[in-house]
Amino acid sequence: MARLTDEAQWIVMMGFIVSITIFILAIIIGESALIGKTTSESVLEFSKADVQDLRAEIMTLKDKGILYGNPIDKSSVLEDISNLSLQRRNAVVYVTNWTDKIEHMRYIYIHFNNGITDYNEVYDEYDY
Amino acid sequence: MVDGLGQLYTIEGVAAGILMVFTAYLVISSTTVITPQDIHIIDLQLEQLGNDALAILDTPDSLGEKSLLQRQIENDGGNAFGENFSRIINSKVNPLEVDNLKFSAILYYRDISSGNTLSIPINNSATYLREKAVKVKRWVYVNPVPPCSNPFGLNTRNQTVLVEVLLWRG
Amino acid sequence: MSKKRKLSRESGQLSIDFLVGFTIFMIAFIYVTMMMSGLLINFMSRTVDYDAVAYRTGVILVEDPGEPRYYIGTTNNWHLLDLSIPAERDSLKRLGLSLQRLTPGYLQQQKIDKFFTFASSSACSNVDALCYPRDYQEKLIFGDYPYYFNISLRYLNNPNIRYVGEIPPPKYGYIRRVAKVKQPGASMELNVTNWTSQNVIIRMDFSQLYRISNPLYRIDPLNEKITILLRNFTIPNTMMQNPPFVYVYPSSGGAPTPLMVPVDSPTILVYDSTGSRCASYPCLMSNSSYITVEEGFFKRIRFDEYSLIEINMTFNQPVSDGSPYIFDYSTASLPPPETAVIEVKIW
Repeated sequence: MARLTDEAQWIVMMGFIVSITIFILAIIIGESALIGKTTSESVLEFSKADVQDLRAEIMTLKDKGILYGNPIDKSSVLEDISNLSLQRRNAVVYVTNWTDKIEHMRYIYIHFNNGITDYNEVYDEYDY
Repeated sequence: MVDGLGQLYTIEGVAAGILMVFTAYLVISSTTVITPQDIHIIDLQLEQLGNDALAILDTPDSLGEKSLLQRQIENDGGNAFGENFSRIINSKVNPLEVDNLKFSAILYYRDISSGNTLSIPINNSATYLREKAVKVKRWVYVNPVPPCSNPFGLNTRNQTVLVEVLLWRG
Repeated sequence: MSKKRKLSRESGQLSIDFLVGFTIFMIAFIYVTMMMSGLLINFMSRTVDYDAVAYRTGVILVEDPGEPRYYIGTTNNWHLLDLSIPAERDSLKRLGLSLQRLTPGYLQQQKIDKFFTFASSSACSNVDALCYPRDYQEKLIFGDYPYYFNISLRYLNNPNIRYVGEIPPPKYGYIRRVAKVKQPGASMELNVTNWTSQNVIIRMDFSQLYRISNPLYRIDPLNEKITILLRNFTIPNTMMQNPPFVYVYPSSGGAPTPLMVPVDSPTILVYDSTGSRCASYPCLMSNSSYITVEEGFFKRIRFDEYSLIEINMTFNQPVSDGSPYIFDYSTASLPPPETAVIEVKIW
């Protein structure tokens, strides 16, 4: 027959230890502030506008014929883009184009790298 | 054997259980954690709107025409650009509401004789007094040969210039 | 005789009292551990998400052509689906308003019209309209949580607002976008001359029209309507004798095949001197007459981006010199694109 002795007090002591641990855990968590990347930081970091704008400008130059006309004009315009990109957008931009006369296709290669985003595209269209 | 004596282990076990559950309840209902405010949402909204507005002003009305931005840079100065840009960024769907965004636009171009990148202001709607602002940019193709009046003093050749607009909520 | 057994320190038995007490303790301990592992779940808040969801919805609306989307060589386009057929409603995956994937920021008017055609959930199953709010939540906003939304659009020079959704509460996630909307419908002004022929022939070479890579400026007879204005009638009482004929040139060359214009829509409509539709032929012409090729007519008779066709109209007086009037980018023009502001509110 069990009596009131000191033997069972280790159960209550285990209970006490667990409770105190919970309190300490709560104090530690209360000291913390959740950090992480918010959605808008990630969106701002990806330079969607830079890539879309560069593509739109190269397509404008293509439609106006600059890429297929006077080579001095073409190289000065493309160098404008490269220089201004490096100075104002911190991005390396390289654009080149060529024509495949056998398959009647025109190609434009666009390279953009601003250290966080690296974009490469080969755009092709039929050479009428 | 059931008798009048309170059972030792059972009582201790129940006491310990009650103690733990009560502590857990107390802790969970009182702890708070500080989460960071998402202050960049405003930047995101402004930047997207500014890029949209510049794209609209750089779209010509029909094939082969010049866009408003191109005509302003080659020939007309910056006033119409400023009015249209301000109107587009401040328009809301409710036609009676007007937003309160301000801008300041600068043109960056490459001078082929010196090789330097130079800048010249185009237009602004208010002086920038160090508010929280975002910068949006757009490439514009221009060719300011005569008879264009070239009000910004660019090289008279085919070139691409960069329009940078600082945008803030005023 | 019940002899009480003595439990000494070396005996290996545990009393029931101990077992019960320890069991109660262990159950309580396991319950508390489960509760503590959920400590951080209470601090997940939904308010930050709304702006991000609004931004993503804005991007899908303005920069995505939707799914199924159109590209040269197909007849897909989600605004052409008949949503009263369940299989077609299922094939609609994403509601995007953009003209084309490679040119974000240019919207298509027909997609905008289809987007704002909706019916409530109870009344939308056999109707060619989007289900509100289910289709918008599943095909535009996405996510497991059923967000409330309000999407509205207005052209900058027009006070009419088109919207879908409810009135928002004081706090909501928000994004505002501005985009250009292509106004469909190219038109050409055709001046008749009183030479020898009583026929007016309009030639359309679709392969020339579809060469333009920028869809904002592309004349698109397969998907948009065409208007031809007939002007310069100098001889009074000039009448169109019959409904127009369409001649199809086969791609391999050779003689063209005539096709009669059908009576029901979509078809070619002729408008007479008073500006109303020609009810019977011969039909009186004047300097306010015009013909309209309705949207979808060329697709109905199975033309594609490489067809070469002529529209032939016969009159009772000399109207041309017999050579065809060419319909291309030098003679026809598109209306300028309109600017629209779009607001997305999510809560």
